[in-house]
Amino acid sequence: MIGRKKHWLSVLSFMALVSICPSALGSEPLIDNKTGKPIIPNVLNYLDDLFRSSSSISVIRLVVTKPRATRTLEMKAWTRGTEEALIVIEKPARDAGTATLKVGDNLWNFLPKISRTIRIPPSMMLSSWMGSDFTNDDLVRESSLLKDFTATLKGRSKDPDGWIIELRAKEGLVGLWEKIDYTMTTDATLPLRAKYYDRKGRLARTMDFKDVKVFDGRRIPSHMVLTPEDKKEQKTEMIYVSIDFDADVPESTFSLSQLEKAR
Amino acid sequence: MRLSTLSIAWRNLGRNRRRTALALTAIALGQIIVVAVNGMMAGMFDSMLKTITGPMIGHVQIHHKDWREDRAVDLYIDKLTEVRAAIGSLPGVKSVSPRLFTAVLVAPGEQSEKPADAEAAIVVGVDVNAESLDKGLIGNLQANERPGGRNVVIGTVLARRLGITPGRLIAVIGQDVDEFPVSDLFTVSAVIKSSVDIVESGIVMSLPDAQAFFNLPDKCHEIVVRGSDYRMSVALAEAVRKIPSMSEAEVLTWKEAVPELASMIDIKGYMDLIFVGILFLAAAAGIANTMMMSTFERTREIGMLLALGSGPGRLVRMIVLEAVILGLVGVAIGSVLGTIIVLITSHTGINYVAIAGMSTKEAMDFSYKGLNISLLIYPKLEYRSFIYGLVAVTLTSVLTALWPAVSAARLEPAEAMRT
Repeated sequence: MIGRKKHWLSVLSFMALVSICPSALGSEPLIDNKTGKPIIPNVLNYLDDLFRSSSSISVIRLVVTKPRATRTLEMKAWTRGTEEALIVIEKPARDAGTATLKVGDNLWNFLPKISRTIRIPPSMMLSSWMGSDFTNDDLVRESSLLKDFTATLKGRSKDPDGWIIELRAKEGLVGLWEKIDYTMTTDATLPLRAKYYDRKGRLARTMDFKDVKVFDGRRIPSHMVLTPEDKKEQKTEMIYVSIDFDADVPESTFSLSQLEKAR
Repeated sequence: MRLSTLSIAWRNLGRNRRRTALALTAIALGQIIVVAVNGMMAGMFDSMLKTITGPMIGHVQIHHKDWREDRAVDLYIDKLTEVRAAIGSLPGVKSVSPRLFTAVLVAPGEQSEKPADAEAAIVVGVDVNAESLDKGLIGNLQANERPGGRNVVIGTVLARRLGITPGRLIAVIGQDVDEFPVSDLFTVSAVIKSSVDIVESGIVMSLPDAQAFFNLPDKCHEIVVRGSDYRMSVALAEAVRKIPSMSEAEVLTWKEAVPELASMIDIKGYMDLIFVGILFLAAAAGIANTMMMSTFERTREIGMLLALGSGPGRLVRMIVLEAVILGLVGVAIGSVLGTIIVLITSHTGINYVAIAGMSTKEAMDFSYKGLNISLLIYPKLEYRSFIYGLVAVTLTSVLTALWPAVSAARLEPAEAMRT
């Protein structure tokens, strides 16, 4: 599990939202003027950079729907680069104070009920994170679309309207996904849907990107819906309430002592 | 048959003692193999069977129909109290043990400077009273060591990994039935060794504690039913299937639950036959050779007997009788020696590990399908190996002696006497 690469669209990268200087965003053309088709490397680069920033503070709502129950968690996340993140649950009261610290490939959970911190062992990386459809692994993987995947333009998509870009894992890449099919908006600036295929080529989960909002001058989808294929009547929604890009996040935020501090 | 034929046959065997002794040795060795090896295998399979139908598997198992495929927390048996009462009232049922299984993370519970690494483990929620019986998962525990009231029992392997001793706290972090995180602290009341892997490296919790922790009220994942005899499992399973609330569930006999182990036990029958076959060959070779040689040597004497008026039938009987006596004495010696070997080793035990040259510490048990089967074998005397030997040797002696006997009876007295 260690060293597994992470895809930018996994949760943390959403939290790890890392900024590029605005001038870099959009400096390369995304659509070829002559053919009217997206220029793949530029689009991938753009996507890689879209959520990146040197640091961020965000408020996120996580809605986990299960066949028997629905639970809404409100959490605050601090990030620095893509390697460090701290997520603290603020609501509901039952889970308030539960916190996850990520430093590189390591994950720690703080459980206020028993006031203990535990490190998540590699064997539990594929287990659910906070009862959601995201796994612990989603939090620690780190990858770059351009570096780890071979992309091909598959053509237009009708529903939703946009371009389909197929990403195939490069040989030797350790990861869960064999292939990810992205549907991009017609101007190739935003993702609409991502379909994840596992190593046996089966559709494993679908992520829908909705409600584009502007946070700190960046236009990004604010509502993500992750639907696993193998679990019926189940989904996880992640909604950004606010994101403060390039906020002042001190290095000391990402320490075990900070993890245990009630926030 | 005249008694004199018997005594003549007996005396004839004494005439070439070395040859007779060699034949007897071959037959006796064969019978020793049959008795000792069958005894060893009987002991081994007996301990396997006890382990299999013992704590973990029982005689009949009940699960949610998808449980064995997925082992997900939400594949449970509902209305446990009701179901349990219905099964308990079936005839021949000795114990009904509901169990609950959930994967968790566990770490030492004491506060420490550096957060401890968590270990993955399985929580087994058990009915403490049912499992404290002789064949239960926690059968050897003192009353004050049993799980319950937020006390748990952990296996030796997990205890070693966590560095935990009885009386200390463990932090258990898991997911409830809806996969939402739950966590709590429990006190370790005892550390146990078990023939069952998931207990050996897991946590045994009382059913009420586990049901509350994982939000599974009146539910469990498995019901293990034990009858008075493992051979009754098929009838027992049939009776359980007839309970209306069990129509959706999967009801399995122990043979269906662990078919690989069950078929290993079936193999024993074939193994027995193979060793009887070896005995058959040893006896046949020994007896055939002895009888051929002795009749050939006695051609003159046989001619004399024929000339004196003894009928060919009596000659055949005499020679066959010699062979049968040889065989029976051989079997008797072999049985006695084999029995002595089995009786001695059944007290001391045979350590297969040492025989196989493995390090004893590593491999006292071999683990298969999560069950640890002891490699210290206590052979068990099987009386049927005497019968096998007796039948095999008598048959071979009659068959192999017939040819020399008949050819001797056909001799022309005048010619035979001249040789």
